[in-house]
Amino acid sequence: MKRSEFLENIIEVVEIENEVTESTVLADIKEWDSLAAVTTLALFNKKLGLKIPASELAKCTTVADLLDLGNSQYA
Amino acid sequence: MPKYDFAPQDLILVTGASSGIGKATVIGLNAQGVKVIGIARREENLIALKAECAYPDNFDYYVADLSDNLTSIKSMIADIVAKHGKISGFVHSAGALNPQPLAMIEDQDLIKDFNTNLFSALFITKALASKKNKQEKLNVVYVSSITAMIGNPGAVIYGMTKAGLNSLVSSLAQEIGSKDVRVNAVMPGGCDTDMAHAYNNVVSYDYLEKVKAKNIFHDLLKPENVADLIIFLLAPQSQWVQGQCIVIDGGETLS
Repeated sequence: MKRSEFLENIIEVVEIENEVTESTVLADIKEWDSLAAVTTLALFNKKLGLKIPASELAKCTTVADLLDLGNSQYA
Repeated sequence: MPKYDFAPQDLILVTGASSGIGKATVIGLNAQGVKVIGIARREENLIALKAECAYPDNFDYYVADLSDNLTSIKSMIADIVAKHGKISGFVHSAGALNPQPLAMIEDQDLIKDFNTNLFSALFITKALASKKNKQEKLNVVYVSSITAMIGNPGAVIYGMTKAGLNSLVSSLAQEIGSKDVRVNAVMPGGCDTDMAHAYNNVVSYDYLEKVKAKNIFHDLLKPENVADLIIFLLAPQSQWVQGQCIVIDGGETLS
């Protein structure tokens, strides 16, 4: 899966309505909450086979930081 | 029944619509002026139900067998939303009770009944909770049973699925409650439905008599009594009721 496809997956499952780019700050996404974070962790696992600790996800500030967590698995 | 403050745009989906509590719920909601979509396996029963509605134009149906092919639920909901618009309420009344003793239970029985009673409720709720399918608010009511609490011989699978529905209520109310979704369940006691009579005939010939002896009315709960509670839970008048499994049994579980 490509990095851009993974982002599309996050947007779909978390149901983010506004436009999101890699520079978007997570805290500025109105749908981004604890459930969205858990959902994203599950996506990392299901789509990329990665078990990302919640503590790593919590360090992310932007969408790019989030996507970087999957760097080892993108096509 | 009191007239509740349903909105003109309300659209409520009812599974198990062609018989028992589901049918009574459809008729009751329709009488409130609410547009209802009924889901059931047999089209002829749904056609007959439409004729029984006070406002037949406010009732439409979708023929589906929820005992298998759960993957089709997503497209079923998409079809219904495309045709009728976003959905504001969901009643899961589809339920199978295939009475059999533990020694006779096989995995295929388990899967079909779990699909009908529990897993389809989960996947329909999942589809309806998404922004593209739900109105601003969504009210979900599952038809559980006191069997989830007290059990019944020969109803092992049924009781497990109903307990599962109760568990869904607790978790989903917390998980998606903040998205303007209310999730509740009703837990009827022995009810005057074809299902209860079938159970009585197959497993326990004095089941219904015992039910009558235990409740304060010494009678059988009627599907309409349960539908009244379901309709209240769907209405804005019950907006503070969230994450509850409400027993309606005339005191059957107290004795």
